Amino acid sequence: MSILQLQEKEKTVESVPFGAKAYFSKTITEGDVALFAGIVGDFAPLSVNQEFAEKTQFHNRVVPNMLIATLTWPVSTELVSPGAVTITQEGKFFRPAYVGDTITVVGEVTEKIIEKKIIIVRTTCYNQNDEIVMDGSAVELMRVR
Amino acid sequence: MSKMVFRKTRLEELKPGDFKLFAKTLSDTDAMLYAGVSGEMSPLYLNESFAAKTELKSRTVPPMLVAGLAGGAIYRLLSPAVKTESRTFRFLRPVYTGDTVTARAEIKEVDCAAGQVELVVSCYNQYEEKVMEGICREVLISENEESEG
Repeated sequence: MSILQLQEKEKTVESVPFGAKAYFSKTITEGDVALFAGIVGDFAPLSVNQEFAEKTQFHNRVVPNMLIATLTWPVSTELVSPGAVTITQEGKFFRPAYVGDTITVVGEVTEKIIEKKIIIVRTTCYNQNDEIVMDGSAVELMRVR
Repeated sequence: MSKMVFRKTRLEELKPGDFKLFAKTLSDTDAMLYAGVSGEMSPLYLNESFAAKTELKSRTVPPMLVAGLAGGAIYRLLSPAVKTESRTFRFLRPVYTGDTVTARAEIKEVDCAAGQVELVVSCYNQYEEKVMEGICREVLISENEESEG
């Protein structure tokens, strides 16, 4: 055992307090959307084709929903990691997000099932006008190691 | 402008069981770029010496990246565009850097009047083990000329 402590202690279902909150904010840039499309292979014209997007009900390119959903992971990580693996992620999408929008994610531990080592984190994404973009939750299993 | 042509999915022609696939080898570069885009910095995905000590044995690919591949399959099934109502994913197995993941999006139910489609999505690794499954509810949309939008 080295004297330097370079690793955080792992969290457990008992050590994460009920009601704990975490926040994460990020402005979604042009680069994010382009990288995301390339990484996941989703070149849906609504997200990558301005001419097409202008003709739809949204009037502008829309950030892929999966990019919004993935912004909820930093807050779950802050609340339950290290020590957790995510087993379920779900989300409802209420309004589109556009390039340049700043998304703020609020995460809260809303349920703890101690005997199953499960923590449920509710994650809500707001845009810069405090409108809800996505509301969902993640089921975290506290079992690593 | 008028030269832009998109394949348009006709809901009447879709029936339960229709599916599309999208496969991709998930490289280290993908995982690192993804960390930058998403802000997800869990040591399980970024720290090899931490991950090696866990039951996962090695760094894994962020599960949402795997779920993202489902978006690639959905786009191939429902084009040109969808408005997502909800998506739910369950992650069944870890995916490691270098694994080839095949995403499959299959029609479960079509409501032509509302334009709504319910899809079952699943992802498999190169050993044909299911790594993820999920349900997506989507609404097919199009340019304003064709729909009142």
